[in-house]
Amino acid sequence: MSRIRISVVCGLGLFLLWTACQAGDLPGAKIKVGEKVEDFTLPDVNGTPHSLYEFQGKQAVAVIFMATRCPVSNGFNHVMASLAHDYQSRGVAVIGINANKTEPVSEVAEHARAHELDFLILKDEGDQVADRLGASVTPEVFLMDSTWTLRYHGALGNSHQPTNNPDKTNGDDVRAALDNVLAGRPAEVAETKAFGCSIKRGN
Amino acid sequence: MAGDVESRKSPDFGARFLSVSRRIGMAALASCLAVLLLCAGCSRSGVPSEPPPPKGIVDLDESGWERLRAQQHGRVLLVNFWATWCEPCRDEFPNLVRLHNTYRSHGLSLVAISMDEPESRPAIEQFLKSQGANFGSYRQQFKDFEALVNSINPRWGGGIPATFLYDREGRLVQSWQGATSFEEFESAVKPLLPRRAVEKSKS
Repeated sequence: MSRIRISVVCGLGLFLLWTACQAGDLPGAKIKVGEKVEDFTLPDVNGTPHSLYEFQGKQAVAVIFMATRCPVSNGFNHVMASLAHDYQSRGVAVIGINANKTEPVSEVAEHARAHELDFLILKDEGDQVADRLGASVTPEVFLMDSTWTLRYHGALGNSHQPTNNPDKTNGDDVRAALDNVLAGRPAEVAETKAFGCSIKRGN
Repeated sequence: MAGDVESRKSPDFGARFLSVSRRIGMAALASCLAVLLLCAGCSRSGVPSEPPPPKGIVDLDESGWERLRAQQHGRVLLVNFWATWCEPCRDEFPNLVRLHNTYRSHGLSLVAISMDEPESRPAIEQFLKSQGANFGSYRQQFKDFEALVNSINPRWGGGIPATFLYDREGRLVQSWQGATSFEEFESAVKPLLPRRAVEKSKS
């Protein structure tokens, strides 16, 4: 009898320990490389709604979670701008998403102008897309192919040696993945760590 | 007299009793000595004392990280990744300092690892001084940051502030990304500390 009681207590203890461990972990990405990214609609800085699937026909779409005040994200402004510019003619669309509750849409618009970020930027006010994809950092990129399959997730560059110094930042990680997607090859490195500032969620 | 008769009647019993009690006494003495020897490097709460923090800010690579973890074996360890340019990290820092001041004598060690660039060393020093931080302070110089992030917690997206809690056996118990309150840290740290040490702090 007492042996049964001990086993029950131990089992309960282990279960509680397990749930405690689970509760103590980080959420992690919701979508995995190889999975399809479902459509979403968000307003741009003028309030005009845009859907992901509007970009049907593109060879690849890079969704970049970005910020106006995060020094790491700002260190990569020129990387984002050149990525959009360099790959435009190759059928690649770059979409920026700002999901920080602390950065109002007017600030996002002004920031884009000041830094010549000449690509579509959407405001994810309720973090619905950030939550759905499991984005946690700025800058963080989700790269999809023409069938909306996630092919690369992580850093724009500098994943091995993180920095917020614009003189040292590069787009090596995402460019390598993009070149493979455009060539119809699987990305050699499909996931990297996107070092940066935590997304300031609204909840 | 009756006792004399008794002892005379059964001399073996008396001798056996004496020898058993002597043995128990010897064993108790030996145990006490062993505990004393084991705890030669322990604080009064029965946990190893906190290794003295290195002077200044030390560059930390992969092997340094392993050494640091090993040094803290037997103590609860909280590791915080931060940067001077990271606003939520700066907001969170006083909570860490308070936590360390409250629980260091009860078995909690704290280590702060800055993600700043080398040229920000004076800014790091100034900030730590203004906070009254008296724990080990390092600056990340990992050869492969991404690999290190994965080795700490594969679910860590690379955003800062990020804090990791290890128990006395060096097992990762909890991870936080984003600024965390004193109370939240405290409720996770307290159950890991030796009970005697925490009770002593209450009295």
